[in-house]
Amino acid sequence: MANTKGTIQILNRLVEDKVISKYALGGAFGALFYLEPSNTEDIDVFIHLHPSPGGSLVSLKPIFDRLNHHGYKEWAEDKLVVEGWPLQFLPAAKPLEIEALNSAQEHLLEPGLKTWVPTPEHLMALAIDLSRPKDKFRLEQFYGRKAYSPRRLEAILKKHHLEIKWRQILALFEHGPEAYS
Amino acid sequence: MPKPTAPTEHVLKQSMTVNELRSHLFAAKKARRSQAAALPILEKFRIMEQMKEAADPIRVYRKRQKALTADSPRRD
Repeated sequence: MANTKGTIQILNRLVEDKVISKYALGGAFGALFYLEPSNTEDIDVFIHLHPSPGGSLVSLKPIFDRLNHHGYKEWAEDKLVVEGWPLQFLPAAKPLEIEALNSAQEHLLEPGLKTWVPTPEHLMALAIDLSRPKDKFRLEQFYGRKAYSPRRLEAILKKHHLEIKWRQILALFEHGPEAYS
Repeated sequence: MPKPTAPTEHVLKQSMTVNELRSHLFAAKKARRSQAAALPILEKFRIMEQMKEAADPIRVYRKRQKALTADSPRRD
């Protein structure tokens, strides 16, 4: 059985050990903090990844090495499994991803255990940017539950030029597939 | 048309138009989703873990949703 709290403890340890400077949970796990649970196979983890001194290339190897050191050696495709959850490390590269990571909010899960999650508006903007079917499904949940600030979302979308994409998706929610034609 | 409420067996046994029935069912679904979203985060973690392990994750989720809107008061 997967142990989500254990996975988060290990992520926090990577921060304490300065292997990563900060992380934020994205995807279904990020959305979980604002919506109902949904099925997922892995945990998306946004991270800052800096080139090594004097170089320009980045690598996830130091993270995997440290996780191996902690005893995690099982892989699920290209993801290392930590406490039952395959971890998908996503180096923040686009300005929107960097902003989402930098403005991620701290959530206290229980005394002594915290984690970081992008704001609902940033999670929505990331989903709008990708616009895969599963992203639209999640956006519909945010929209249906009004689990976000439309004003803050508009500001983020405007900054990252995603307003048109969002309007198209909104039309789909409000008027069905005919709205696209 | 009656105001949509969470469905009960009673509602499902009533005679009503198709639209009224759909309205009730839709309202119930919405209520279940809202309740699931309002669960404490550690409880949500447990549901995600169960769904991951289950052969049929949707069935586990539906079972949990039903439990949330049972007619009797919640036991937790």
